[in-house]
Amino acid sequence: MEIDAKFINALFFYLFSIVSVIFAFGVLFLPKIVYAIISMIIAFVSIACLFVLLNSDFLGLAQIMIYAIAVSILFLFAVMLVKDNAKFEIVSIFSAKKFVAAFSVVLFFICALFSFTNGFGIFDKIIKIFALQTDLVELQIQFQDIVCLKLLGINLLSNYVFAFELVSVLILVVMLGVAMFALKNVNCKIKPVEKESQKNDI
Amino acid sequence: MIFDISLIHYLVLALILFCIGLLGVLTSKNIIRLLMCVEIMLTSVNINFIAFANYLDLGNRLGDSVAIFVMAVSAIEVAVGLCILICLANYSNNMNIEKQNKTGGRK
Repeated sequence: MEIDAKFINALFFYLFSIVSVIFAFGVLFLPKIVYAIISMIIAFVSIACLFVLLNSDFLGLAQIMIYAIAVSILFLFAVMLVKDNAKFEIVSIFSAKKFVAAFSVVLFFICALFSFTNGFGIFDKIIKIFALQTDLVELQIQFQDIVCLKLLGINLLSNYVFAFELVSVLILVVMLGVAMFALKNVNCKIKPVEKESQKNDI
Repeated sequence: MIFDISLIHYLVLALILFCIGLLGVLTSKNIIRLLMCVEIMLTSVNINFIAFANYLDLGNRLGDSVAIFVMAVSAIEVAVGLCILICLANYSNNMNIEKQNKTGGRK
């Protein structure tokens, strides 16, 4: 087969999408919480590669910096700061509630898939009757000189500068609030639950 | 043709990731795993925004700037959620979220 740009694009799309879906399932089903966090890191890195495939390089880098590094290390610190890690290893058993949840999620998946893939042509007549779907017009213009970061800066600092500043104020407020909340709860150890775990560690 | 990657491929991928996250939020009993599933849902929404910006809005790519806001708000949500989690872990023995239904007062 001739190797061209479209083929390579498709190859990387399928590679990264399959990796991200598999490791997102790993977040759900891996029994240990640390393995789940590492699986989440790999899923986020592959999603960042998908962002790069979508011509937005800066967001891919921001995805790696924010999600795959900062957020994951925050999760790891939360796991480490809680002394009794056995609290997190909750044994999950199969129950009717889980079955209902899985059934409703699958139903949601099928409904959403039919709604925007036009029902794979099966429900064309029904969809045309109820006029649920207009055809997606795809503008496949290849702009070679589009710089994602330039457009992002223009958008953020011209039309959306108020929201941008508001987000920074929000981050400041949340940082102060979390610090206050954490410092307030330092001195009150209510239940000494850490004795048994220390004995086990020794 | 299978090698023509268009908008619909990215939409289906984002839908699959969203459904995985939704399944985790509905079924998991572990608070950290629930927060991770919320992160996966927000990231799938980001994929949608950037795919629409790439395929339908090439001129000014507004989806990218929305994705920046989504990232900031999700980072904030993780910080607050983990702070509550650590306080809750010092407070109670059982981290099962179905048992955390008594929130009145500390004593």
